[in-house]
Amino acid sequence: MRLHLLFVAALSLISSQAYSQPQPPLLPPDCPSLLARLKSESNSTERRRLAEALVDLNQHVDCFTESLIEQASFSRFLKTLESRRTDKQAGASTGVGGSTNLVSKGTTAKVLSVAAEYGALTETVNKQIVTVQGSFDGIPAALVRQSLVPYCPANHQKEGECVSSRLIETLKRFSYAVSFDTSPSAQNVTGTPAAAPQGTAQPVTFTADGHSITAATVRAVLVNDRDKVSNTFQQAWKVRVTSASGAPLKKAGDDLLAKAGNFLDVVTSDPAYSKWQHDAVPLLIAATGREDTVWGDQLRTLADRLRPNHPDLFDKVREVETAFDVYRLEEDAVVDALQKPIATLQYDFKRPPSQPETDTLRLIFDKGLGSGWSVALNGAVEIYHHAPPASVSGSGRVRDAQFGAEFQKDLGTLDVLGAAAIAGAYYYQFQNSPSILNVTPGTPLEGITLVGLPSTAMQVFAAKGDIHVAQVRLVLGPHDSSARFPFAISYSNRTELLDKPAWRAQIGVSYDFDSLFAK
Amino acid sequence: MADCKLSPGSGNCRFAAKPEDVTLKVRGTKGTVLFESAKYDGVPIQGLPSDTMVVSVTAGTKNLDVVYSFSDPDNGAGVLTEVCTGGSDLALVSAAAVFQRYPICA
Repeated sequence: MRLHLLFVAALSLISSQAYSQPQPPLLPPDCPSLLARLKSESNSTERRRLAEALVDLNQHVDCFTESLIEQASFSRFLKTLESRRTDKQAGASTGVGGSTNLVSKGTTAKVLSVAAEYGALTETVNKQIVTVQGSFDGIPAALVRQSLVPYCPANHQKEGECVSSRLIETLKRFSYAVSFDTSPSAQNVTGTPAAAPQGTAQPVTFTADGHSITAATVRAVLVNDRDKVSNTFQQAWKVRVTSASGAPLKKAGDDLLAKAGNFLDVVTSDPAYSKWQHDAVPLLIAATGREDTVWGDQLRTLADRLRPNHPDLFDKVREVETAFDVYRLEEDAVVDALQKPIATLQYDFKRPPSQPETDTLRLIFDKGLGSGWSVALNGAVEIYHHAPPASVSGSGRVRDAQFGAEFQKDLGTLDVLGAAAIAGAYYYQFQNSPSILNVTPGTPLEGITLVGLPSTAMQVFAAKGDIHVAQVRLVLGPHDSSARFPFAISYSNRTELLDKPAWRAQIGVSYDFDSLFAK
Repeated sequence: MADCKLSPGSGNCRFAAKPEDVTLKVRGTKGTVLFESAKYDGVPIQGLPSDTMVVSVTAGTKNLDVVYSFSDPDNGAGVLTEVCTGGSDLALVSAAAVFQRYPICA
């Protein structure tokens, strides 16, 4: 009896000691980290623990899928391609006829946005302008989202052809815009006598003077806000991911969850998988100095053992790998969207109707100040594309110099009105050369009546003077919509032609296609 | 706070559990980490993305599949824990392995 009691007491002591033994440290889930630890570990117990974690594909199914994808050649991409045979500025830049933007901002839509605006800021005649703009990273990003090209995130080495995050980051810095004048006067057709009249009929030669494309713009971001670690950034990231803006990431996450889960169901339910785990562990433990080679061999071995029961294994692998690519792209896209450009260089080529062509070089500074406030500063020089004739008094190649400043407050989402922002802006234009209008005899200028003009006049110009403009702008956007409606009121001391103060209103609508292309 | 219901499992079970509601939390150690999407036994878990989620564990061996999102997609890391009295870390989370399957035996 005493011996029995002693035996029970000893058992209790042993089991309590076992229960109180500390758990070994948790292992990282990704296979590069596990492999790195295995290479540097000499303790056999720990090597076994690491090897058993490595062969647990529940933790890193992408290791297996990536290794199979790397074995595929570039011809697979071509085959896929053949089988598939089908806080921003939207709107015209400053100084392009109708525009609600007194001061240019640094950000543009990634893929495409379209804006239609009506109104004039420094011009005398109101214009109806449609602007299409986007950035060059939208194209490769769309190829990744459509599963046409693999994606290589920054710290994820992949062999073979892929769109790298560095490429997308570089292309994102370059954007373009094209403005179309949809006013009736954008295209003029002029008829001139071609020969002597024949009775009451007059033969005529018609020529068209089309200026439907009024401006083209190219932008390059010089300096980006590269904050990815501060508490402010992390808070902004969390807000973005958990809001409607995080929908593309959520969709990609749901898709990855489904495809990776289904793939693991297929793999882990095959008896070849558990046999492979049983065979691979001792090989990995024994592979001192050759862990990478042995691990690569074991992944190929698993594929060979699964393929007889799953001839479509590679297609399933490609589906999973594509889902991983798209998810990682969307993760990077959320971070990129929070990296605001600070300094941007913009070149505009303008060819407004009845006016000489001009080139403008503009430097844009755009910075968030916290609490929903941001500031944008512009400085620009505009020159005539061709030197104006000497007969235009006071003219020179340099047309004007511009300076603008805007303060904007993001009002968040209002109950009835949706997303809203309000801005106050000031613009100054030093007029070095007078504004010039090209006139064609017999062809009226829209909105302008010229009286007593000699028939030989080809150009008219007004007295030059500095222009000061102040503007208040409200931008509204419906809930869960990429459409934006800017409304603005401005006051100027004069326009380019009229030396009289003027109150003006500008309205517009823009649509950012980024959300559509992300679906 | 409730008693812990999850503990390290063995064999094919990543975690051993009692068949009750379990509240899980992910804590970022490098950047912010969230549960982006998840499902338990094939049923999507609602209320995501979030840094916490409730899993209604039922008897048997069932899979908890999770996709994590990281504010630092290149180097992000975190820890999975249970929200309970005296709870310890359950698993490490890494931006290099955004998808995780946790077989839970209850």
